[in-house]
Amino acid sequence: MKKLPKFKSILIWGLILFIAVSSFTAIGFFHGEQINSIWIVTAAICTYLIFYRFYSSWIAAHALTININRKTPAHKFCDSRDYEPTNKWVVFGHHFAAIAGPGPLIGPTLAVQFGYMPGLLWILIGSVVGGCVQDLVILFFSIRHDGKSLCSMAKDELGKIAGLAATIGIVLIMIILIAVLGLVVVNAMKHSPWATSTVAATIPIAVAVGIYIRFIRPGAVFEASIIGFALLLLAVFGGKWIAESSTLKLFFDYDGVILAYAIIVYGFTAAVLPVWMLLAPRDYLSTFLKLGTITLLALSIILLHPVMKMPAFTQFIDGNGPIFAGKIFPFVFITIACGAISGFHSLIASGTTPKLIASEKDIRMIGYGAMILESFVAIMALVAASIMEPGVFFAINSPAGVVGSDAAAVISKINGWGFSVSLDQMQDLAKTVGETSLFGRVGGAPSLAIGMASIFSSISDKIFSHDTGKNFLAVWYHFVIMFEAIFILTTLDAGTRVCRFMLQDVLGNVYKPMGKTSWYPSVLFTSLLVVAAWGYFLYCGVIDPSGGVNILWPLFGIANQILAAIALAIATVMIVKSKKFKYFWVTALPLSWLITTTIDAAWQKLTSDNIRIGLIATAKDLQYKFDNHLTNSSKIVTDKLVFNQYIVAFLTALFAIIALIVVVDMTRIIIKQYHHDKIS
Amino acid sequence: MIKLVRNFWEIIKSCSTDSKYKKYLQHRHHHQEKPLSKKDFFAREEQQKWNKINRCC
Repeated sequence: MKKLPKFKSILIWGLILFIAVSSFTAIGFFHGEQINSIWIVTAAICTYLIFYRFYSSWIAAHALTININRKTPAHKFCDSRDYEPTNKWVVFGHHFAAIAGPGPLIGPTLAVQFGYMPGLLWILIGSVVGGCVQDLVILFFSIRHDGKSLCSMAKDELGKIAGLAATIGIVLIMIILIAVLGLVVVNAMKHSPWATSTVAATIPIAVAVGIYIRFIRPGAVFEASIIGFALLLLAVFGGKWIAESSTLKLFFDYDGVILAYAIIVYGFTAAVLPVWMLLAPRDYLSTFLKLGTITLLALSIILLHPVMKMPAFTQFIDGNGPIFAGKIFPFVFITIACGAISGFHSLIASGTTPKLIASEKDIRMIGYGAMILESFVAIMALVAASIMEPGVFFAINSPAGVVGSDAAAVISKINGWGFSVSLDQMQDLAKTVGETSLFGRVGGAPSLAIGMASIFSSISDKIFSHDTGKNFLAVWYHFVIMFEAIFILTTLDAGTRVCRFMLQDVLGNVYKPMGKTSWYPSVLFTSLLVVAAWGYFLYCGVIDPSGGVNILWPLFGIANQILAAIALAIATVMIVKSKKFKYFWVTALPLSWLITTTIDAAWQKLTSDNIRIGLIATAKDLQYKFDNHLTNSSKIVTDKLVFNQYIVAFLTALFAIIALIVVVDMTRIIIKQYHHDKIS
Repeated sequence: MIKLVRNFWEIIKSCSTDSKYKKYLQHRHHHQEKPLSKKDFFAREEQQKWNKINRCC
């Protein structure tokens, strides 16, 4: 690519910097009023451009010293199987599809409880200084170590304990992640025949696509996905017809517990069936849907630039938020993981991607660049959640345990917080989107769907008449619910399989046949164990009057950030070992921030007396209320909820201990290396 | 612009395994080994893809 003359380059980057500064100034200056989302989008895009152009290239040149003449593992071990030099755009596409899950949509939506500003700043700063750096350096070091995985690098660089800690961390994160994503889907489908029938239809559609790719047109993924997409659209319209039929809707109208059981049965079935039948075709559909929907959302927001109705900060920065309890520090930093920094990405960056990269010069674009794109997805989700009336947002996302289950009482409470909403408004909105009620639909998915649907239907307004746009709102809403569900369920399927493999690997050391991934008794037994593990948390989340998200999402955030801390610790050690001690702050800075926020969050979750934050305090409170007949919960439910609090507390403590072990190991190694370098 | 469109089309094409199967056949030809059929090749690719962590949160 031809380089620009220096003065032109300075002019262009100077202009981008000016636009960035102007946008941030506008956001800061007008934070007391409703601002246009175009300022947010412009500030974000300019930030990404500046950091990609300058910070990532500086890291690549100095801290990593990328060598474009060095053979990558794709060339060294090329076997047209695992290792194959691949076009950088293709690798970028595959890598982005692998890292972009539902996390950057859900986390920012939940964090809007604090107002849009905390989430916005964390997504931007966290990604360009933390998440993008993590993905870039882990990808680089994996390539330099012939495509080694994160667990192998942890074992080699930090020691066996850190390697074991990483492996345990991965399995536990996966279990919690699947449970919380399952909870999001259950809450989106609860008492919604349209949503339930549409999501249910995705199963036979995926199977049909799988059969098509396997037997009818082997390998024709693109055309099968187009056919599958058309069928999914039919399912969305079909869902409307089912919801309007007085007989058919009864088959798809279920409460949370029944839906949780259905998800559990689905998860087990998907894990034991061959990949071609359900998991793989579902993934093709969700990848195409994801790319298309996100592109449409980004273009729509840029075209329409809607007004941000949520304030920059709400009173809930004080820790009394209805969606999840806890002050802005540290809870906004663990609520938004993917989109800012996610440890899971380091598994992808040290998985298939390093084995496909043809040249080290592609690392920056794929490692840093793909994470920038995911961060931008998070910004879109933040905007979509912030453009609805705050009162409506809180009415949808506040659990019954906090605001009550009576609609009038909920409205009164939310108005009391200073957010205007009325019963007629909520009933009208529910009717417009084809739902019976939108109260207490926690988890973020329904409110995000309303935000996105209102953006998409506004585009319809521009093309057609206003009435047509309004009629499309319900279809768009259920399209978005289906889109969220299809890609959550793919993560659920894939995650269950991976956990099953890891468990088979461990049990294979005890009884050899158990380690065979093709031995069906082992497949069934290990799948059952994994599904039972996440199914337990899913069930407890569903019966929890505080909404389940209050406990599970912070735990997932803590675990994910600790995995990121492990990845950054590995990277820091590797930078120091490659005699670049003066650059160790590149990874040590985000690492120290993550350790601070996760340990503080874990400490609060374990020791706080606030029954909405402290897990042990909550357990004691639940037991006290039951013993003194102050609750309507049965003994069975109370026992389950109390036990769940203690399990989650145990896991929180375990994650915190893992983080501290890794930091101590890393510090020991760095000091040793420093003394060694000083002597030599 | 043309380069951007070409790169975008490369990504779309990569979603079909046609180009990957062609590369596999070329590789196998050099190594004088009996190649898998397109159906078996694709089945093997899918199996391999889902034997590891491949999707994030």
